[in-house]
Amino acid sequence: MVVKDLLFELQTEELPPKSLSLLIKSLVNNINAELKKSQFAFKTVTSYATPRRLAFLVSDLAEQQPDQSIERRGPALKAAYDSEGKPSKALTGFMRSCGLDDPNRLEKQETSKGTWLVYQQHKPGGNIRELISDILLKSLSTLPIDRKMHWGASRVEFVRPVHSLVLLYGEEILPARILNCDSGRTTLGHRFMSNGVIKIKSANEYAEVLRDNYVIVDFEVRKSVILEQLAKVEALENARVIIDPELLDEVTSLVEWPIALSGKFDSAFLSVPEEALISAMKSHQRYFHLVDLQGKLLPRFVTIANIESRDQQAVIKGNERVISPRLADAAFFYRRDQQTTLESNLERLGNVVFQAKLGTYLDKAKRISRIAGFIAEQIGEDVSQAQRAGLLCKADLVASMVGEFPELQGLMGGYYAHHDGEPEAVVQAIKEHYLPSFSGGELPTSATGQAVAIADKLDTLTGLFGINQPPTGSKDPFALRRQTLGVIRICIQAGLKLDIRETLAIAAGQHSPDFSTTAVYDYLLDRLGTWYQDQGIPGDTFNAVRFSHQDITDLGDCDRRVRSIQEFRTQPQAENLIAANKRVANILKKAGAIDASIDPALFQSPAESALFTALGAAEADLQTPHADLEQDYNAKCLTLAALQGTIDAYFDEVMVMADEPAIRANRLATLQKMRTLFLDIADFSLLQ
Amino acid sequence: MSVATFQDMILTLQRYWADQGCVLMQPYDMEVGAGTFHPATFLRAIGPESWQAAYVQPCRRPTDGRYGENPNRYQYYYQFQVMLKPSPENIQALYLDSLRHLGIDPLVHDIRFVEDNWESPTLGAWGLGWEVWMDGMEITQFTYFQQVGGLECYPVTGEITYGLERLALYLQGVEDFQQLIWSKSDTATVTYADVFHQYEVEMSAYNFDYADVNALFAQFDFCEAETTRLLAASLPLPAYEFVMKASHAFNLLDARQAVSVTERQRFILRVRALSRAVAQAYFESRKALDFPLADDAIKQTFLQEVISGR
Repeated sequence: MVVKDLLFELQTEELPPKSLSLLIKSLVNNINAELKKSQFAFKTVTSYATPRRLAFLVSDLAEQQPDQSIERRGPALKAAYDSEGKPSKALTGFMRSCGLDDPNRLEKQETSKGTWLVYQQHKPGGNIRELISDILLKSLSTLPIDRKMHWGASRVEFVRPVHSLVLLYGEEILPARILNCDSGRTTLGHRFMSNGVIKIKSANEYAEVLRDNYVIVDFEVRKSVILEQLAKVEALENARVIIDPELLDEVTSLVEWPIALSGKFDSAFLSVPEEALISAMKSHQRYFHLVDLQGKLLPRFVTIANIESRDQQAVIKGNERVISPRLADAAFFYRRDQQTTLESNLERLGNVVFQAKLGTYLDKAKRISRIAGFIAEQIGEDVSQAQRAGLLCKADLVASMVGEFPELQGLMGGYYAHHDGEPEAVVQAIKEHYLPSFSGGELPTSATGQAVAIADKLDTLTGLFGINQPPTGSKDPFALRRQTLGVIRICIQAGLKLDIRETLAIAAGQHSPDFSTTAVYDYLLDRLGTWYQDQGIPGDTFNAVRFSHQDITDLGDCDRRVRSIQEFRTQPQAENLIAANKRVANILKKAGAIDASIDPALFQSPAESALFTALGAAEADLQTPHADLEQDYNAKCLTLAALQGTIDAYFDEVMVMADEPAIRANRLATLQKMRTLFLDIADFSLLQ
Repeated sequence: MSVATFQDMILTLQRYWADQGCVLMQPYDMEVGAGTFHPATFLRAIGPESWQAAYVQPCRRPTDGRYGENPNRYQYYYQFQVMLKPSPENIQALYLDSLRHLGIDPLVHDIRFVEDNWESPTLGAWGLGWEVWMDGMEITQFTYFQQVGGLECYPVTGEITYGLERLALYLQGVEDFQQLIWSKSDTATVTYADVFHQYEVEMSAYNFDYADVNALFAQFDFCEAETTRLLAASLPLPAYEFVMKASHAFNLLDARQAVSVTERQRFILRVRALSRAVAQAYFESRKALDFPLADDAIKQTFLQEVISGR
C-alpha cells in the first residue's frame, strides 16, 4: 500500500489571536474525523498555526481507500424465474439496480429458508487525489468562526482574507480549489525577514523550510521558545516574569518569530495600585510584568516582538514610549478618583442603569446593603459594616480607572474605600464581593465579604427572575448560572448558617412585594444538582435529599445530607433498604389517607412487634444529634441501615393488606412511620 | 531617511496614494468625528461601484479635549484616510510600502497587525480588521467594511486610517503633539503648538463649558427633521450633511454631559436610523443611474447574488 505525508497550508492575513488555537484544533479534529469516515488510513495529524497560516501534516496517509465488498441479496430463486424459465420482474428489477444485464453474475446462496440470489458487488477504494478536495471543504465548512468576512470582489467568506493554498502529497501537488485559491506549493515566510515566495518541495520538509524563513509554524514549539526566552530574562534581571497562560497563548498567536525584549518604565508610577499598572501593560500592550523575588512589582516589562530587529534598542525604546502615557493615564485616573469619596460617587451611580426594569446601580447598591445586613445578622456578623460595604460596593463603577479597566471593578473600590478611611472589613468586603469571578474561582474570605457577595448575586438573580428574564440555554447575559453557583459555593464552603429560601425572599422583596421566589429557588436547587453531578455525585442522590420531608434551606445541611446519602449507597444494606422504601412508597400511595396511630394490641406476628420496637428505638436515636455535626447524617444513615434485617423480616412474614380493616390500617400506620423516619433525611425510594 | 515635518508627511502620503491610483480628495468642510464620515468613504462604500480615494480629514471629538495639556489627546486632530474599493489583494503590502515611503524600516521596527474590529453604532456600520502596531504603538486602523448604513458591502471596501500626529511623534522622535514640527524652512520653524495650541485651549472651553445646550438640542431636532424632509425629496447628499450635523450636535451635548446614559443610547439610535435611511436613498439614486462607476462583472454579481436577498 502506498502511503505518503500530506501537507495542507492556508496562508492568510493576520488571524484573530484569541481564536487561533480553537480554529486549528477544530480543523485538525475535523480532518481526523473526515479521514476516518472515508477510511483513508493514516498515522497522525500534526497541526501548525501562526498569525498568517493554518496548516497540518498528515503522516503516512494511504493513497487508496480499501476496496469494499458489498453483498446484495436479490429475490429468492423460486421467485426469480417464471414458469417458462424467463427472469421475473423481481429479478430484472434487482439486476437493474445492480447495473447488471447478465443473470449469471449472480450467485446462489443457500439458507434455512431456501435459496436466494445474491450479488457480490466489488467497490474499488477511491483515490486520495480525487477525494481530498471534498474532505478539506467539509472540514473547513464547520470551523467555529464568530464572524466571517468578505474581501475584495470575491463572494467567499472566511475569518480573514486567504492568499494561497499549499496541498502536497509527498512531492506531488494535489488538485483542489478552496476559498478561491488553487492548490500549489508556494507560500510566504516571515512578513519582513523572509524574501519573496518560497517553494515547498516535499510535504514533510514544511516546518523546516518555514523555520529557514523565520517562521516557527508549530504553536506549541513557538510557545516553548517564548517560555525559554522569558526564563532567560528572569535569570538576567534576577526577577520573576509573571506568566498568565491566556496572555501567553495570545502572544504566541501574534508572532511567527518571537523575540523577547525587556524594557522599563519610570518607577514613580509604582505609587499607583499595581493591579492597575498590570492591567495597563497586559490588556493594552500584551506585556508580561515582572516582580522581584518577594513578589513586588518591578518597573520592568517584557514584550514579545515578531522580528529580529536590526536595532533592538529602537524597538525597546518605542515600547517604553508607548507604555509611559498608558501608565500616566492610570496614575492620572487614580489621582482623580481619589479626589472624590466613594460615598460622594453614589449620586452619579444614580445615572448608571443596571437594568432598565431594575433601576440604577444606586438602587441596586441600596438593595444590596439591606440584604447584606440581613445576612450578616443571620450569620452573627456586624450588621452595620455589611450594610456600609453593600452600599459602597458599586461606587467604583463611576471611577475613571474602572471606566478604563473594567476588570479592576471591586478591587479599585477597595483601594478607594481604604483611602476614604472606611473600616478594614468594609474595604475587604468591597474588594472581594465579585468573587468567585469565574467557575471554580476563589471565594471571598471575610464574613462581611461573603455577606455582600451573596447579597449582590441574589439581588441580580431575584430581579431578573422577577421581570421574567431567567437565563435560557443560550442566553445568560448577567451570568446568573455562575452567580448562583457562587452563592452555593460560598454558603457551603464557608459553612454559613443561612436560610437560603428566606434570604431569597428578602432579596426579592427589595425589588417588589410581587416578585415570587418559587422559580428562583427551583433554579438554585437545579444548579446545586448540576454542581453535585460535576463532582461525580449522581442526580438521584441529590433528588433523594431535595424531595425529602426536610426542605433544603440551609445549604450546608443539605451538603452534609447529600454526602452521607452518597456514602450510604456504598453500604451492603443499601440495596434492600432502597427496595423496601420503593415498596412502601407504592403501598402507601395506593392506600390513600392513613390514620397514623399504631396499636400494638393488633399485632399478629413477632415480626410486627420487632419492627415497631426497632422503629421506636431508631426514632429516639435520630432525634439525638451527633456531637460532631459533620458526622451527624452519617450516624443517622447508620441507624437507618441497622433497620434492614428487621424490615426484610417484616415483609417476609407480614401481609400488609390484610382482609381485616383494623389490622390493615394498623400495618399501614406502621409503614407510614417507617417511611417518615427515612423521609426526614431523604426520599430513599428515589435512589436507583 | 524619515520624513522631517508634519506637512511633508501629508505630502508624502498624498503622493504615494495618488501614484496607486487614488482620487486625492480634500477634507470635507464640515465637522466629523472620523474620516469614515466623509461621503467619499461612507457613501462610496455603498453599492457595487469601484472607488479609490485618499484625503486628510480633521476630526472633532469634543469629549477628547484636554485644553492642550495632554501630550497626545486632542479634541481636534488629523486622520489620513485611504479607501480602496474593491480592496485589492495586496492591500497590506501597499500599506507597508507607504510606511517605507515615510522612512519607516520594517526590518528595524516591530510592525504587526493586531486584531481590532470596528463598529460605528451611529453609522450602522461594522468591519473586521486590525490596528497596526509599530513597536507597540497603534499607528493605523485597518478595516474591511462588511456593512455600512445597514447595507451589506459588496465589493468590500478596505479602509486605511493613519493617525497622523501619533505617527509624527515617532518619525520626529518627540513626546508631545505640541513639539511636532509642522514645517521648516531656512528662515522659520513652525510647530504644531504654533498652529493649534490656542485653538485647542479655546475649543476645549467651548466644548465643555460654553456650548449652548438648549440650542444644541434644538439643532439636533432640526437636523433630524431636515434629513427626513430631504430624503422625501430624494436628495440623499444634502440629507447626509444634516446627519453629520446631527451627529456633531450630539457629540457636543455629550461633552457638556447633557445626555444621561439611557438618553445617550436613544440619541445614537436616532442618528443610526438617519444614517440607514440616507444609505438606502443614496443606493437607490446610484441604482437609478445604473451604477456608472461599477465594473461590469462586479455589477452583475451584485445584482444577482447580493441584492436579490434584500
